[in-house]
Amino acid sequence: MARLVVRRLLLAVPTLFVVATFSFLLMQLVPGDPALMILGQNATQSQIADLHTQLGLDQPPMEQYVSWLGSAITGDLGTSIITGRSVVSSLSLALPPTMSLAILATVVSLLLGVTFGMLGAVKGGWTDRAIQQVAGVGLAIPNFWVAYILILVFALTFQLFPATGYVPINQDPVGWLKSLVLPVASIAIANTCQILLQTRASVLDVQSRDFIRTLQATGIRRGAVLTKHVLRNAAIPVAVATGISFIGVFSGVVVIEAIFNTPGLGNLLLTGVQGADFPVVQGTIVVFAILVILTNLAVDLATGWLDPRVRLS
Amino acid sequence: METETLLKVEDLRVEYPGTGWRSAPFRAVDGVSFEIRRGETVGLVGESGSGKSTIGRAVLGLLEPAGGRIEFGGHDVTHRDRATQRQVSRRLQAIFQDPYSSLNPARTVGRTMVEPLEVQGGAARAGAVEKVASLLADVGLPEDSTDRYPPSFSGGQRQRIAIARSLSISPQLIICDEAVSALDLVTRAQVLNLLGDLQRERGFAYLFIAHDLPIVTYVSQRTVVLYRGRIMEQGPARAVHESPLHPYTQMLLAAVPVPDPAVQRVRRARRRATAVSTGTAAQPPAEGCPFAPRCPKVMSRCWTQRPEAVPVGEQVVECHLFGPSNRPAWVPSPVVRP
Amino acid sequence: MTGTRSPFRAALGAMVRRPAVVVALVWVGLLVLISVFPDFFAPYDPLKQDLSAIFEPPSATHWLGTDNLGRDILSRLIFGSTGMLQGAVLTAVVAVVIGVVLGLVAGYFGGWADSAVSFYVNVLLSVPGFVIIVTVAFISGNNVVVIMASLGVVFSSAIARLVRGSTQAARNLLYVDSARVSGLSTPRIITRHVFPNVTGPLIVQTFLFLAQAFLILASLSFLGLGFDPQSPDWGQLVQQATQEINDHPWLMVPIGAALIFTVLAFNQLGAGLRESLPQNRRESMLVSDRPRVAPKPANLADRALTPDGTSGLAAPRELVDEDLALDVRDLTVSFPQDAGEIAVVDTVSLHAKRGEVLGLVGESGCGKSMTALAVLGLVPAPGAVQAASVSIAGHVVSSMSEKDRARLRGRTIAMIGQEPMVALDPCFTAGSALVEALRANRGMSRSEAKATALELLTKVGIARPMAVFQSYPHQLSGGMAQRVAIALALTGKPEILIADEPTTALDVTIQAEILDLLLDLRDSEGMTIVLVTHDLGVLADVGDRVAVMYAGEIIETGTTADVFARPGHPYTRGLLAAVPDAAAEGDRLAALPGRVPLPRDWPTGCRFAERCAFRMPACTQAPVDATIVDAGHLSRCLAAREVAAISPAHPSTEER
Repeated sequence: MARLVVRRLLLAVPTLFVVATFSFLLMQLVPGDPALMILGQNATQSQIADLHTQLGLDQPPMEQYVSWLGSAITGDLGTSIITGRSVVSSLSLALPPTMSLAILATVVSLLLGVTFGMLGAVKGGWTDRAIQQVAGVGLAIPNFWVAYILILVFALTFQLFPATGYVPINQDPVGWLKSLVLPVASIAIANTCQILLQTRASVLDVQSRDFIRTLQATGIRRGAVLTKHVLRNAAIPVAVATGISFIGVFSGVVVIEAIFNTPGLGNLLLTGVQGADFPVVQGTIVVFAILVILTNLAVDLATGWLDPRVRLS
Repeated sequence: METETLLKVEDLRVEYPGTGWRSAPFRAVDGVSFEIRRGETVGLVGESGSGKSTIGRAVLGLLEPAGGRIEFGGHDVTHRDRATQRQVSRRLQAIFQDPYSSLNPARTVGRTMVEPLEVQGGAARAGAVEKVASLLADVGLPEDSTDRYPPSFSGGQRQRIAIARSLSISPQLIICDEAVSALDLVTRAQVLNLLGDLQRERGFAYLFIAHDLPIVTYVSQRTVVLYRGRIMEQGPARAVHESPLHPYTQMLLAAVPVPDPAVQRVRRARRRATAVSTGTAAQPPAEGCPFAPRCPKVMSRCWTQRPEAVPVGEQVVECHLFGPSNRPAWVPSPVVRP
Repeated sequence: MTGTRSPFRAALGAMVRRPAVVVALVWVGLLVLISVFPDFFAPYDPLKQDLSAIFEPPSATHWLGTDNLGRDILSRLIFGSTGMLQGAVLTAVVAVVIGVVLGLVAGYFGGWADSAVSFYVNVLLSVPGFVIIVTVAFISGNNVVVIMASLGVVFSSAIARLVRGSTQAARNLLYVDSARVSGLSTPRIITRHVFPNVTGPLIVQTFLFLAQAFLILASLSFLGLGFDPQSPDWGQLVQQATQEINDHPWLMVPIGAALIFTVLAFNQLGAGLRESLPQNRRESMLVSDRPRVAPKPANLADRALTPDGTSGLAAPRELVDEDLALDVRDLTVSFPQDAGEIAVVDTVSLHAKRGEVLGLVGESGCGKSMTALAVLGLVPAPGAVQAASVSIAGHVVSSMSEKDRARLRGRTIAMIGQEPMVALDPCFTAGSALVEALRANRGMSRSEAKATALELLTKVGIARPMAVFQSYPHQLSGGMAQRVAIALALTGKPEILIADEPTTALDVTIQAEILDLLLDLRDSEGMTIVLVTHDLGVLADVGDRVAVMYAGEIIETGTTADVFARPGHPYTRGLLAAVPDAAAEGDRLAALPGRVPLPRDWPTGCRFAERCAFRMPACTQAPVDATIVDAGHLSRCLAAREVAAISPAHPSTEER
């Protein structure tokens, strides 16, 4: 198990390096002069030159890269061109809302998905077919569309939850939760269906394995076979699916945070992109990559913990 | 019958990479030598992990040997590129164990069967369709089989298709790797008969690889007994079966139940009097005889020193019981292998 | 003619028979049509404004109503579909091309190529796709081709991983080996033998990605990225609808429905194909708590049942026999098939005395394993069991509820199977499996159970019980795993052990040890063993009595000594003659012609008649009843005594 963790961590370093390089290269591909975009078409030559020096754009790309990477390793991702604040501090402010969203959405999806997936697989018949159909439709609903439907119903019509905004948890936990209900629901609908379908498929697959017959022949009761053995074996692919859906949230937040005006990483990226604020964009991509790598590591650990064949090989 | 050597395997060694990082490679075949003459059937018998299939795969060119030499039809084919492989494949074919994965389910039987002809190209290709039809008839399959897909055939029928495929280019040697092991009793007998009939008609040789000693004895002229990648004993099939010399061959033979309750009762009683359980067996020594931990006649030398191949009568045995200083008085003086 | 369709085509055939798939195909077909010919299908110009008819509800002139500028919504949907579909298809094409090439190279060649591709996949899986796409959208100046191609690159990682996995599996297939032996070139091996294995899963994945790409494209355009803001693409339509959501919520409906239907349709096509592919259909082993009651199978002949139940071929016996551990009368197992209810086990009667080893022998497809499962009550769904009576150690289980019956399993009757490695739950150690079973069967505490488990492991001949106790199944050898499975079967001190081919997967020296162990347990515990086997040697070695099965029936029964010495049925005789004998080297084997008929093809008369050398006209006219050969030796053959009188079928192996 320790070897597995070490191997994964060792692999994460070059991966992160490549992602960082990639995000740097991506910003080099920006057409035109970033200084021009910031200062506008009417900027004078000397204003542009000053900004170039300030941003280090007068250096050759290789040196820009080395200096950016050097600072990034020490935890300095530069300063925002637009706000002038350090990118790291912007990121640390944007992280809690996004993580709140991601964690809540995943917890909800996992609970509902496993419960109904298991129910469908074990009950079979009409229950199963109905659950499967509903999950199929749920998976197809675009999150941005359903977000507005939720706003229309729960914020505008019944006024149960705020339509936009975010309340930090240390300010007001109830407000925090209320501000997250609608964005979390928008994301969790599809994710629940994804986990549900995976759970259902895994449970059916485990039920077809030989050891299920051995357990019944050995006198283990049906309930114990299901709750202990089927669930445990099915948990392995479900853990992988949960990891995928957690990572999927980081894609979803770009749209969802824009709709609900949540001050998270997605919003930061979008405003960065729209304002040509490339230190912010680079920094956000790196943070997203770190989050994804950590999630994948967590999934590896979870499957290792659940599956002795992975752990002990 | 010709006595010319068709296949000569000398001191063959095959290694698989170790399972962990920088762990030593696993030696699956360790210094194996034997020969097959034209038209002869040689049986390769051993339990799982004996390296019998690995030897077959090395002969077929599916594995790169770590050492030793494979000579086929007088040419060194130990290491081969694709041109050599195509040359060799004109005279060397294989029939594998699992009839369910030895045929591509997505290709019709006809297309599967012409493949060896196609590779040879030119003259071989002409008349392929007629040849396929006649081969199918030879192995006892209906004519319309060419346009059907493998999933619609039974296990025995698929094995017949595999046999027909291997015959399409008139091989001199066919490697049968557990070719009948997955078949039911009656089907197995049918396929064994077919293999025998074809050999009598066409005169090719078989390397018959199996875990079942009675079957190997039945089909082979000579038997090679393997254990953990090494040869324990080889010799004429009947001699190995009737007067096994190596304690491993004796154990293997004693473990096979015969389908006669009265005889088997006696055999069982005799076996149980001498059996050593694997439950108590230790790891085999790095040097020395791999069978030492399970051997009822183990001596101190067996743990440290690898036994030489010693000719005893027509058999050749690798066991210290038959080493120069230990040769029992009753054993006839060794005859040099022809 | 059967078997002339490739398995993949057959899967496609099965797929389009699903109603959901048909609906999805119609929708996707329609979408393709309107997106290619929008001018033909759209009733209006999508940009034509009519300020006199804004926010109109659906009507005959505007089927889906009009928007804030009086533009026809249906027309806008139709014109918007073009860019959406083009973008999604472009994504899928890029993803498939890159993914397939990389996956095949990595999977087939391994080594460095594999490491490089794995790294590529890892890097792409480490960036949230949408984040990159948003950035690319900005950099490329909203160039939709660049955006969708980049999305294709992101998706290619998953395709590469899928193709790599399938290719690695295919590389080890025997028919790929055959092609390599024939000297086929590597590119041809890949295109001919490896790639076709990948197509099914690949198409499934492509449909799922089309759905994903559609959603992402819509998200982008919703954010104002990727498309000309003037164009009526679907994300824009959502964006415009949200502006008026409070006053005109209807605007959300057509575009929402269009998006959901389209994504759902692509997902359905993917899922429909996946479930139709041959490798994805497996039966559950978990028995239902409410077993199915089946109608009478169509392939059963009507038989007159004799009072003592000899129709199913069991030795005539007293009606009450205290010594019987197992007494099965007229057991039938059937499965529903296209042709109706089909029996696979037909009116079988069996009995075994206490402490006896009963061998159930026959070729595969004869119903011997299904008979054993029916005795245990573990016939998988949708199988159905009918019987006059089944008693296990005095309990009449045929009239019990499933719940009561489950209570007997493990305690009165237990089982070991053919594949010990897969018979144990891979997630639990041998020890925890034993402890669980002991607690369930003997109500022990955890520490008592552990001590007993170690005792049991010692009893089944394991020299280091503690090491095995702590091992997971994958750490055990086959022989060791079978010993653990036997220990597991012993946890409830059963009176009857069903051993279904317990040594078939094991080496012959290990087989001998396991058989020794079973006989020792029979002697020490007085256990009754029902041994299902196809190996006549094993049967001769340990069987006291034998029942020979053919095509779902028992065709001969008697003591092992009698049946081997004087087989009274031509099939038994044929089995014995088919064993290769070293003494007969070089001779052809006396192999029966033909093979066991499938259950749906069972004839009314003797099921073996077609292959029988002793066939008479009467054989095929009516079901054949049992004939007594000797006391306790019965055969379902009209010529039983004549067959038994012929000199031994199998020249007795001389004593060695």
